[in-house]
Amino acid sequence: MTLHAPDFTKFQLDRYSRQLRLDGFGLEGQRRLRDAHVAISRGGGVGGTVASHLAMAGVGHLTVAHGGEIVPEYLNRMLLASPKDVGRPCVDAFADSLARINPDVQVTTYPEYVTDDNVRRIVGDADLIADGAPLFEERYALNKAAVELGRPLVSGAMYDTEGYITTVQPGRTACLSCIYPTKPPYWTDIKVFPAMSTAPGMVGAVMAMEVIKVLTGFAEPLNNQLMFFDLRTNVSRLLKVARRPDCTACSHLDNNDV
Amino acid sequence: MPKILVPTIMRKHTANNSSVEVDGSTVSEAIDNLTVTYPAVGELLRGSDGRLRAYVNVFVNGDDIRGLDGEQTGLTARDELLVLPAMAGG
Repeated sequence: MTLHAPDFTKFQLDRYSRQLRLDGFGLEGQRRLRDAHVAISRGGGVGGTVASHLAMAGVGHLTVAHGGEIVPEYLNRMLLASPKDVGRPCVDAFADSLARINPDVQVTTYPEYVTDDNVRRIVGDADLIADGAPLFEERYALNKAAVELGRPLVSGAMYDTEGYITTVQPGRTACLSCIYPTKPPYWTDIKVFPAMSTAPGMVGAVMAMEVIKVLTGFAEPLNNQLMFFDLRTNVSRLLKVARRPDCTACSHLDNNDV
Repeated sequence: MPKILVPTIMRKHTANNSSVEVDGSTVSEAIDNLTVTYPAVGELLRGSDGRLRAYVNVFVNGDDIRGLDGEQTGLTARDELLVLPAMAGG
């Protein structure tokens, strides 16, 4: 089947030809991805996998926020970093990798971690927020911003060989604060969790699919569902979650505030 | 007996068992019996007031117990509990 679309080059149509054949996706889905802007908190094991898949899929604009410089310890799980990047600002290495994957994607970088103070500046222009941050403080800041801005949030986390992914549609589905109202005291810093590339890679891939679903209307997002898996035991479960009437972040929204 | 799936962060307290069968006709009883066998789990799951910690979610056959009868949710021998403390690795 030869596709003709004046708003895509022949190379782009060839490049995306396999995904254009997905039932329910097609050219309209591709256009929606091309016209979308996704902000991703951190480009590490989870966020970098999200960014890689979204660049391959053809999302038009990616914003990546990540402070610091590449250190050797990152290289067991970060797809967007290589040994020659050690010592470089993380976001520079990530931007170079994303440009290699798909030069058609506009990449905006912020060499800083998300905080309550900067979150609006980083995600304010995005159509969707993807949360791959390794600290609850960042995750809560992103969740709060998503709720206040009325933007969908795809949130994914890992620990050891486990993964946890959900999609937040503010006012309609459980937000991160509905699921985790308080931060656990054992999560003190980034060094608390063991990781190899497989679990964050799987979390990031599921998250990217969620982003694509929400942006294009294709397939079924994890609305009010928490996907859980453990690669040690090969257990996976789709868990039902619900909004909390007393949620500090989203309880003021009614079901139509989307 | 109901089965409790043990997440990786708790396994150092359950002799590395990834699932444990426990007696109990309610979620509360099952968790109590788990903590009798593995006392260190209790501190992770319950606060000093005896209530489940807010950052711990408990699911029975995939349903959040907050949408059921909380810790008084009834259990049968075939039921599966999943106890999930919050994680944020990225």
